[in-house]
Amino acid sequence: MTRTLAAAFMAASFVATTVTPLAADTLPEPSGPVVLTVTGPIGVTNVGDTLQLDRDAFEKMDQSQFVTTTVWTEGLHEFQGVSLLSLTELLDVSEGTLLAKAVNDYTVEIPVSDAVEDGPIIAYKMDGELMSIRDKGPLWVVYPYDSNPDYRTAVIHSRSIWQLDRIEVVK
Amino acid sequence: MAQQHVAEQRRLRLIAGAAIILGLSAIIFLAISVLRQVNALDQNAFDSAQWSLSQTEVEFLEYARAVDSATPEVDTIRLRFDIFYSRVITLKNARVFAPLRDDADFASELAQVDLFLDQSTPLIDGPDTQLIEELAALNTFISEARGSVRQLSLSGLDRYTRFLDQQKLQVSLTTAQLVAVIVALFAGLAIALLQMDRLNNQAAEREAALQQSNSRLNTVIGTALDGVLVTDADMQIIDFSPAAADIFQCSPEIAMGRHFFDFCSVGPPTNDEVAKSDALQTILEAKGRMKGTGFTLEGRSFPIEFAFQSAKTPTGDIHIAFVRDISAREAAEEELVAARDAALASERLKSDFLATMSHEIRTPLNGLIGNMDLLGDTGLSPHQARYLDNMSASGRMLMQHVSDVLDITQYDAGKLTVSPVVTNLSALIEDVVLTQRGLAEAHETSLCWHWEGPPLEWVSVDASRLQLILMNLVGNAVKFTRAGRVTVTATHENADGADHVRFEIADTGPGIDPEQLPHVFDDFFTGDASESRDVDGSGLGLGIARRFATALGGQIGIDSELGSGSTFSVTIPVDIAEAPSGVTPPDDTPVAPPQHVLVVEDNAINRTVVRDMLMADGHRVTEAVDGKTGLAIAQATQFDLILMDISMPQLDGREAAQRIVSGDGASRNAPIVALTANVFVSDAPGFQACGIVATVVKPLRRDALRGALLDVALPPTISGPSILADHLSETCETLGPAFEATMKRFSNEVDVFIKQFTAMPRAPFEEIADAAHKVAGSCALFGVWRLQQALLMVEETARERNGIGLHHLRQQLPELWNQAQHALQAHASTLTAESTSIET
Repeated sequence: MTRTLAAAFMAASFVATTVTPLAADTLPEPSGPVVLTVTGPIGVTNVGDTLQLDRDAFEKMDQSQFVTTTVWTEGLHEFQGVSLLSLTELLDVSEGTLLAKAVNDYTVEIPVSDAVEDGPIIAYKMDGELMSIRDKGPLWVVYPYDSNPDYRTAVIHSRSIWQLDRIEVVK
Repeated sequence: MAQQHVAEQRRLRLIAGAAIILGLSAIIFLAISVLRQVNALDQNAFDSAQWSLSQTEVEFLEYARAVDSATPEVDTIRLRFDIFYSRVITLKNARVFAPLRDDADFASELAQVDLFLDQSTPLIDGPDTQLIEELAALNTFISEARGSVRQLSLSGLDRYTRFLDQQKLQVSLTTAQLVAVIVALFAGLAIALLQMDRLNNQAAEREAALQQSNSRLNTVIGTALDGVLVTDADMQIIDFSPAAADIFQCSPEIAMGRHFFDFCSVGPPTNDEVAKSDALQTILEAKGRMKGTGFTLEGRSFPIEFAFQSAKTPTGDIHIAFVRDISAREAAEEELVAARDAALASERLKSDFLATMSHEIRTPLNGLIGNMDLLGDTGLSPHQARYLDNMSASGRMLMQHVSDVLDITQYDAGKLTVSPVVTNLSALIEDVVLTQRGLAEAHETSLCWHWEGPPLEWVSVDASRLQLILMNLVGNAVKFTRAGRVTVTATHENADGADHVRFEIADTGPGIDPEQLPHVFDDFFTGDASESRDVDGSGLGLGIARRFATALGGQIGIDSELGSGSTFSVTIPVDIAEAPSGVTPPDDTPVAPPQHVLVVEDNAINRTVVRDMLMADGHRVTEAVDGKTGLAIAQATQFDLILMDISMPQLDGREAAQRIVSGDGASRNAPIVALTANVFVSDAPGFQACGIVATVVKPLRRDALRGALLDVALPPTISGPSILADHLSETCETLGPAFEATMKRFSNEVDVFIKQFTAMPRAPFEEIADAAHKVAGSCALFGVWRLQQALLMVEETARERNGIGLHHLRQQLPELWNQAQHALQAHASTLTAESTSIET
C-alpha cells in the first residue's frame, strides 16, 4: 500500500514538474478587470497560486458555443464561452470537484467529470452580447440542456451557476 | 379433438400475449407518467425555486443594506442592485416560475417590484456623485418595494406548497393506477399460467391416452389373424404384420419396399404398369371386402379376401389392406356348393320322376276304370259284378292316391299357383259337407256345419284349394268316426286389419296318440296300424291339406285327445269381396213348380250336388256327363231348363248351348243356364251370344238354383187387347193415302226386329233394348197394344240383363206379332169395306 501511494505521488510530481512551467509561461497576468479567479491545486497560475482571467483571456481561449433554452430564460438563446473541458485541461485538473462561487457567494459543487466534449461551458456571451450582472453575467455555467436529456435534471440545473466569479478546485 | 386442443392453446396464447402487451403498455405508460410527474415534482427544483424566491428577498435586503450603509459604497450598491435585478429578471422569465406568474397576486407584486427597478435603475446607472446624492430617494424606493418583495417570496412559497401537494396527489394516484395495472397483469398472468398448466395436463393426458391406444392398436394388429399390409401412396409396402408374414411366407424385412401387387392381386399377377394401375383403381373404388389372389415370393398362389382402406397422413396418403387366406374356406364352400347342387339335382330328378310317373299312371288307370264301367253294362253274373265293384273301388282309390302324389309333387316342385276367385264361403262349405254326407250316413255319423259369429259370405280366395283342404279334413274326420258326430265350424277373424277365416273340424272319433300328434301332417302318415285296417287312404291327405294351407298363406293345426276325438283347425287369409251383382238370389226363395231339368256336367260330384238339390225340390232331373251327351239328350227330349257346365272336355258348354239353340231338337227353345265357378266370366258377352240366357255361380247355392227355376217356370204374361181399333182409325184418317205405305214400313220394322231378336248369335242386351224401344214407339202409332207392351217389357228386361225373362219374351213375341197382324188385317178389311160402302 505504501508503495502504491508513493508511486502515485511520484507520478503526480512528475506531471507537475513537466506541465507547470509551460502553463505559467503561456498565461500572462490579467490586464483588464478579472472576471474569474481559480484557486486550489491547479496546473497553471498567473497571480500567486491563483489563476486570474480577464475577459480578454476568455476570448483568447478555445471558444465553444451552442443554442439552447433554459428554465430561467424565455425562448432560444445562443451561449458562447469556454468549455469546462478546456478550462479543466488548462488547469490540468482531471478529477475532484470544482467549487463554483457567485458574486453573492452562492456556491455549488461541479464534479470535474462534468467537463466533457459537448458538455457545459462557462458562457460570457448570450446571443452575441456580453452578459451583465443583471443578465446573470458576467459568467454563467450553461449546459446544453436541449441536446442532452441528462442535462435536464434538477442537479444539473442547480450546477448551472450564474454571476460566477470564482472557482476553487478541490481534489 | 387434438386439433381443437391445439386451437384452444393457440387462442389462449394469443389472448395472453395481447394481455401482456396491453398490460406492459399500460405499465410503461403509467411509469412514464409517474416519472414525468416525479420529474416535475423534482424536490430539488422546487427547493431551488423556493430558494430562488427567498434568495430574491435576501438579495433585496443585501441591496437595501448596501444603500442604507453608514459608509455607502457605490460599487457595492451597484453590484447588489444588479444581483437583485437579475433575480427579478429570472422571476419574470424562468419556466419554473411560469405557474407563479399566472397567479394574479404574484403578478401584481412582481409588477410593483418591476416598477421599483424602473425607478431605481436610472439612479444606479447614473454618475457616482448623483448616486450618492440620491441615496435617500433609493431608500424611499426600497421602503416602498420592501412589502412587495416580501409578498413575492411568501406567495411563491404558498403557491408552491399547494402545487406540490397537488402534484403529490397526482403522483400517488398514478402510482396507485400503476400498481393496480401491475396487480391485474400479475393476476392475468397467474390465471393464464394456471390455464396453460391445465391445458398442458390435458395434453399430457391425451398423449398418454394416444400412446395407450397406439400400443393397443399395435397389439391388435400384431395379434390379428388377418394380415395387415400398409403401403405408401406408390403401393410400396411400409408395414407388414406378423400375420401377413405368416400368410405370405415372407418376413417383414424382406417384404418392406416391395410392391403391394407382388403379394396381392385382384386379377392375374402382372408386371405391366397399366394393368397395375387399373387393378389399383379397381381396388380403390371397391367397397368392403373383395376376393383376390395372394402370392408367395416362391410363386405359390392362393385365394385371399381383403379389405382395402386409404388414409391421409401428414406424410402423405397410405393404403391399408387387411388380408385373409381363404383357401380352406373356399375349399369348404366349393364342397358345400357341390353337395347342394347334387342334392338339388337329385331332388329335381325325383320330382320330375314322380310327376311323370303320376301322369303316366293316371292315363292307363283312367282307361281301366272307364272300361270297368263299360264292362258292368255287359250283363255280368252277381259274382262277377261284385268282383268288378271291388276292382272299380280299388281303381278309384288308386286314382285318388296318384292324384294326391301329383298334388304334392307339384307343390314341392314349386309349380303350385294360387288363383283367388270371388267365392261364397257358405256355399263352399255346404258343398263339402254335402259330398261327405253319404259316407257319414254310412258310418251312422251326423255331419253338420255352422258359422260361429256373423257369417262371412263373399271372399276372394283360391276356392278349389280351400275346398280340397276342407274336403280332406272333413273326409278324414268322417272316415275315422263311427256312430259319432262331425262338426264344421267357420269363424270370421279379423286381426290387425287382416281378414281370416278359421275352420274347425271336430269329430268324436278315436283321437290320436299324443306321441303321434306331431306327425299327423307328415306324408304317408296313417296312424295306428291296428286302426288303419278298416280305414283306407294313402296317408297323403293331411299332408296335402298342410301344403295347400301353407300355399294360401294360412295355418293348419290339430288338437286331439286319445279316445275322445280330434279337432283340426285351419286358418286362411281372405280378402272380403262384394257379392257379384245379379247373382245373389233373394232369401227363402219359393220353390218353382216341378220342371224337367237337364244337367250337363262332367264333374260327378257337382252333378250329384245339382241333382240332389233339384230333386229335393221335386224337379225331374236328367244327367249328362259331358257336352256331347248333353247335346244328344237335348235333341231327343224337350226340357224346361238346361243347366250347362261351361268347361268340359271335347264339347264345352258354350258350343253345346249354341248347337242346341240353333238346332231343331226337342229342347231348342229351352232356356240354357250356365254353371260356372268363375264369376268374372258369368256376364261375358259370349254367353249371351251363344244362347246362354243366365248364369248360376258355383259352388251352387240352393237359393240361386231356386231363383233360376222360378224365372223359368213363371213366364211373364201380357194381357190386353191385341190392337186398339179407335186409335188405328185415327191414325188412318190422319195419314190418309200415306197410311198403307206407312203401315207396310211398320210391318217391315217389326219383322226385322223379331228376326234380330231371335237370331243366333244373340245380340247384346243394349242393342235389343234400344231396338225394342224404337219398335214399341211404332206400335203405339198403330195402336198395336199387346205387342207394344211386350216390346216395352223386352226393353226393361234387357236393361235388367235378365236373360231368362228375355228368353220367355223371345218365345212369345212372334206369336204376339202374328196375332197383331191378323187383327190389323181384319181391321183393314173393315176400313176398306167402310170406304167402299161410302164410295158406293
